[in-house]
Amino acid sequence: MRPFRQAHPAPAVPSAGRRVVAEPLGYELVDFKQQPINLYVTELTYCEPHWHEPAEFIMVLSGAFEVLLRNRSLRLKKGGMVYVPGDDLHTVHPREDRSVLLGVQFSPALHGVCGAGRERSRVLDELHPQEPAHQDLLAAVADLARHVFQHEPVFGDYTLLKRVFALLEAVQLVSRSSAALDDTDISGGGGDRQIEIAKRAIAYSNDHYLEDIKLLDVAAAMGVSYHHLSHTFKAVSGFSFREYLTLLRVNKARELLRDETLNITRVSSGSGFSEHKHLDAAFQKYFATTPTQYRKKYMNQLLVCREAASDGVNRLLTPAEVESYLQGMNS
Amino acid sequence: MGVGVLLGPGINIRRTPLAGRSYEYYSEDPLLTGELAAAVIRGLQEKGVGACLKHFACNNSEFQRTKMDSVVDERALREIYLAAFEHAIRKSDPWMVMSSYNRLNGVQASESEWLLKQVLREEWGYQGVVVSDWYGTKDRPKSFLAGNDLEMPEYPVDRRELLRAVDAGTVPSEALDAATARLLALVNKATANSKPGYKADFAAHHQLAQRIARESIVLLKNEDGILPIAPDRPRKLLVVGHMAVAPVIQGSGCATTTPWILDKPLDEMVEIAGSSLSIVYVAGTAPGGTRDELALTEAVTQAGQADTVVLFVSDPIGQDGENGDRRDLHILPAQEELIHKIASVQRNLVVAVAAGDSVVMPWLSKVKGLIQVFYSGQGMGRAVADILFGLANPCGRLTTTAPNTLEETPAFLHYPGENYRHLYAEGIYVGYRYYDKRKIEPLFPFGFGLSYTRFEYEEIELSRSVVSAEDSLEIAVAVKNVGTRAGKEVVQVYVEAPQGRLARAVRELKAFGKVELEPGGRRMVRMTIPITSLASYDPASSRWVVEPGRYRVLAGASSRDIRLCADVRVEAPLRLEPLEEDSSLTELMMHQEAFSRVCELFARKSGTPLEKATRLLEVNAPDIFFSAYVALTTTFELDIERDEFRRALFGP
Repeated sequence: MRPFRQAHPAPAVPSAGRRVVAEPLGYELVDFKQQPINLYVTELTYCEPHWHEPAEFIMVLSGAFEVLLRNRSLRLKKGGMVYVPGDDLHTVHPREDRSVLLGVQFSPALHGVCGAGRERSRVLDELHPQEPAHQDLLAAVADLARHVFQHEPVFGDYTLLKRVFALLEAVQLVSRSSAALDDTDISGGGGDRQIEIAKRAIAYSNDHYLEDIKLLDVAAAMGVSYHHLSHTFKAVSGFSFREYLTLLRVNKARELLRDETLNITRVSSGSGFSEHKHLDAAFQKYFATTPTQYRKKYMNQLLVCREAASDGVNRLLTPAEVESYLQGMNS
Repeated sequence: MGVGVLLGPGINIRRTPLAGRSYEYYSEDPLLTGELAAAVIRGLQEKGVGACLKHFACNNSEFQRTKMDSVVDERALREIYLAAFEHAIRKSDPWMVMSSYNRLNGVQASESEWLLKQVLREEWGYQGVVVSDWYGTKDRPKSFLAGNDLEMPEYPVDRRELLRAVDAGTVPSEALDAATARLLALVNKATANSKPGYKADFAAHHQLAQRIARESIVLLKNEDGILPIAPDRPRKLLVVGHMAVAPVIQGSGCATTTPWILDKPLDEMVEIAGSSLSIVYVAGTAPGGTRDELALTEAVTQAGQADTVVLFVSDPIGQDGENGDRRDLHILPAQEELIHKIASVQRNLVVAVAAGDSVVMPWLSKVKGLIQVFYSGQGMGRAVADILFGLANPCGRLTTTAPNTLEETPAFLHYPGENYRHLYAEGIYVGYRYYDKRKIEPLFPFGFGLSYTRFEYEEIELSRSVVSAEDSLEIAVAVKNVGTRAGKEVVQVYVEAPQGRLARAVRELKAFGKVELEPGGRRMVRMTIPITSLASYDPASSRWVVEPGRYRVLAGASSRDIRLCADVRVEAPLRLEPLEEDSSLTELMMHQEAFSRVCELFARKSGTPLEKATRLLEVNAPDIFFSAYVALTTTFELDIERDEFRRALFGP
């Protein structure tokens, strides 16, 4: 999941210290120097397999998602949640129209406080409002979200940190209660190694996407067999390698298109497509639009919202919308 | 008070292509201007948005615009400059009219009672609100008395002065009441039509903007069928010019807007053809349009390797606009150089020009394709791309004559005026009227524009062959699309008047119609003109005069491309020059009644029979150049007092 600033109508300086920087390494670098968390609510259309150092909490506010975590596929409905430990590879697919999720990423500094050792991932398929532990979780989420919409998250804001820890605690409690699924600790043995392989393939792709790379090349570079890589990659990320590569490139293209100073003829080569028609086809397939229209709509949105409210694919929600979804969770 | 009005359209006549606000105005022709303006105003006001027609009158350039005195003879004023306003006002009744910054024949337009009361209200019956141009009021009480209801913007000093004048009685309370009533009526109209919470549909508006651009862009040259470029046949296409990625879509000043959605020519071209053609872009110049050696070299190198080159150029942006006219008619010098250098390595060169008005084109012979985009707004990028690739068939026509040089333009000798006095010496011969009269062949004539298809004018039919001044004439022109593509033709009807007492332009636009035709399709385009529209203004008798005689109705594809003609005879009373005391015998003979009275006087005083007296005068009249009175009293040595003569001349 690409982390954003929270959907806060702060007019000031759009990129004040919390600018997202997507390093071309398959994981996303979030600047947590000044903030303990990064909270966002988004209507998701598309998300590549990725990982990042900060742990991440995701809760479904509307619709349904399929989350691929390590090599498990999880189906989450409204109220469902997943806690992804740092550096765990994961992909999030919306499975219904208008699927909305709330995400919180936690600064690594927070976990130094919480304890050592490898964390476990936690899952909840859907919310049961009668369960007290579930109610607590929902309350903790809503509480944190509302606080963040009114205040910039900074270290030293103990009212914020109190709520952050409350959320983490609620997540722990929910996972222990009987109605929850057992947490899916799939550490150990083959699982870990599979994930490592997938991650390395992703990292390699992010380094070499501008070149004409084939799975054969990647396997050779990694010293594994072609078949093993092909099978593992699909199992862990849910994508075939070729599809992943296209998605990666088209994501880069979207980034380039959002930069108005870059003229459009450079975008296909700048994102690793050998010819413009491949970029065109990929855009059509995944976003049902053209690069030109995407750029135009984005520029139009910049004017309308005055901030980069969305990358044209995943839409950040306004606090008012979030509030109405939170209210709707109680039913 | 919650009153919002669109401060437009601006319809000053485009008398010189240098004028800074040409891009806001419509044409050098008053009929075309009036028709377009009326349509815009009706469209606006039908939706409840008020229009403010401006700038009334004769603000035709920006140079020293608040002090410059436009010195215009009355015929030109009536037939050209005011005619556009009259046409628009009579047809669409805009809620407001804005007085202009300049002086007109010595009087500040904002203080001209002649303009704002006599002409606008008494003659044209206008009942809306007259407002001043912004900060254009020099003497508030005076301008109020002249007919300026509303000063914008309001400031306390002027308010105090007006109040003082009211208290002192110099401004009568009836005038105040009348103006207030008009303003209240405006407020009522605006508030009754306001729609709070109305959300504009930006996407739909953008589509409309694209359509307008598409139909306005003019194809001026298309050699060897270089256009359209087939979007699906593989080739290397080079696009040059910053305008392709930073489109020039509008001028500067109060007409400037920030579009919600903006099309870029390059992006749109890539969308249409990027998957089949290899499209490469180079800037060609530095970002500001100034020369850059590296950029120039790169452009030329790439051009040599391409199959086709499309080069985007513009006039110096920012030089014109409000408060500034252009200095010359050239495109940016660095771009002119680009054209020459690219043309030397590439024959397949298409140039797209964005400019407020005409530009001179010393490089024209070097390019095969030429598109005049003017300032086409936010949809221009898509429109240009559609036209380049043939997804749209260009159908725009020039509304101003494109000159070969600045020096041959009608206003050249007296522009921009001197010592705050700008003589409009060309009189009624504005735009094509000038070029036609002087038999100058311009670069591209008024009304000109090419298409990807061909049209033939098959026949013309007039509803009558003889008409009187009160009649209307219906003109039907049959047009056929004889090409292979659907397209639109603009049928233009010009009328040549007979040589009468008053000087005339060679021909004048009197009607036009745009028609869409499929290949092989044929339509009768019907237009109606009132015969009064053929009148000239006679300053001697202060009235519009339809002169009798044979008029030739011409139908064609431009003012210099006439395809068909038909004659109509206009029967109207011959309006003669009014008699004066020093009229000659020849002039006197034209006035039947007066002449017979003078003959009777002659007969009486000389004792000759009436018939003989009449013959005498008739025979000798051509040789006597001095006045009739002098002739009678000296040549014929008759004893006639001035009073007696005057009574005979003018009647009892």
